Amino acid sequence: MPLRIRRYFWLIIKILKYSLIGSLEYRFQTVVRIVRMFIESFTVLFIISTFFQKSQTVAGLSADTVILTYAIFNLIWATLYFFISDNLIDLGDVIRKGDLDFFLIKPVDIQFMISSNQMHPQNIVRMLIGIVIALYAVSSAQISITPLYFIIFTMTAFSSLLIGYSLLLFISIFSFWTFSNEIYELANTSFSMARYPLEIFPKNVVTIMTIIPMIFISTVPSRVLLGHVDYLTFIAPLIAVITFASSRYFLFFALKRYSSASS
Amino acid sequence: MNKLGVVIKMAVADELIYRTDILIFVLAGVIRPIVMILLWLAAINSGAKTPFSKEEFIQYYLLVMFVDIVVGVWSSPFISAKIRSGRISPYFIRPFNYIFFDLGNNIGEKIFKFLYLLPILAILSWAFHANPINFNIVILLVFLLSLINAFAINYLLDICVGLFAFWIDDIEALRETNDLLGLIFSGFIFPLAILPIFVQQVALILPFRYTLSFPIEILMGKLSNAEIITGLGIGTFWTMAIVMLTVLIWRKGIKKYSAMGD
Repeated sequence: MPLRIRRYFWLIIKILKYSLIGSLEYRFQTVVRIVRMFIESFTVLFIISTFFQKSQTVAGLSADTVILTYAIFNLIWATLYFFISDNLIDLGDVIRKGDLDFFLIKPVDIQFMISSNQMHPQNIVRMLIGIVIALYAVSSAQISITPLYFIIFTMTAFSSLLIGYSLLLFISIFSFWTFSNEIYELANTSFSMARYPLEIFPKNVVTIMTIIPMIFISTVPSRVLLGHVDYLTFIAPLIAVITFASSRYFLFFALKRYSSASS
Repeated sequence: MNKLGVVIKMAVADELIYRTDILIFVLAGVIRPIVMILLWLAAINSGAKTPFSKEEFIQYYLLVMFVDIVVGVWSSPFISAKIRSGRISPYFIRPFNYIFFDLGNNIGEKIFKFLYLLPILAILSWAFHANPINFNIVILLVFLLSLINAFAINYLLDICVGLFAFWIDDIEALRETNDLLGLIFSGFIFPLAILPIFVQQVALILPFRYTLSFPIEILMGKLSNAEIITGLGIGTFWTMAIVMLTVLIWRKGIKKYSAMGD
């Protein structure tokens, strides 16, 4: 067992190394992407500031809460994109080009193969931006985080990572049956809702977002940092495991049908 | 013009295969404006002072959904792929032949998008209790004029970006920059009226406003006659400038391409 894990770890290092070389090769593109990250952050912060120009609270939330939720979303999404970049989005192309058959015969777990083709190391900048903004929001709200809360936060953050990954995987599995990547576009814009604290949205939207566990991605971890811990915090890891297991099960379900169709 | 009609008909027939994908695309396209409406409504309910009223925000974003589909373009990845793979060579003799096919595909796909969008817009207007727009025939004509201008600018900018494939390996970065600037300065994410005054003045002279915000401002009655005329002038200027730029890039690109290929 330990040998297997070491193999995956070694693979990740290799892929990271080659992705880094690739980023340096296409230097202009990397620079533009990084500049774009800053512009995106400024734009969202600007929008948030216009909400709070004349009032202290919006829908019962202070500016710091909204900024913190956005920063956490950035951090988690950037971490996700650091490791899996566009690989799951491109799953449709992988299948259509026939590369999936090639992946299936490799001695490595297929879910790992389709998730880890390429990495986008420039997302480290986005992660740092998220951390800086989060630190600013927390200090502005004058909250001191105890080690206990930080540990709980880490737990919810990891749950968010897992949930975000599983949802992405779940959506990309649909490309086994559809011809294009449009459903990913739909999911992307839905995820963009998750970067705001969900108290802003009407009740039925929030219920939907809890069932499709998007609420956990950003709202829950940022609530923890601000000192609010509720039942959602503690079921987050459970939801994460359930979501991960379901999407993995869905993947193998799709693969079973795939193999029998092509041969 | 008849040629264009034929190409459009071909494109519609082609796009029938993708009718579900187009539906999903249209749905995806309306989500972000809906989220923005919800955000602004929540902000106003909590007492934020904004340049637009609740009804105006709702009207604005519904119009954004509409105009965004009208002026939508997606040609640059295809042009750059054709240039890099060499498959652009047959079009050298008659460069405008390629634009015909591309335009045909663009308009053909839009017919489908509208088939889906109009019912969706109707449902959303009812759900948000949107106010009907007051307009007379003059405003409508000016609006249509500005729409044509908007599409021209958007389309030609996209073609220009694609044509840079004659020089750059991967135009993704350029395309993303264009998209990002467009997102902010065209008014897709938020109405330009909420920007600080000096930024608004920059936005006035950039071409992006004329691809989305300007037609909407006309229809919502937010502009005086003088502002409309000035806007049309600036918009036309940009169209002509980008046309010249496109032709220039095309000619220079062909020269470089031929020199490398043979």
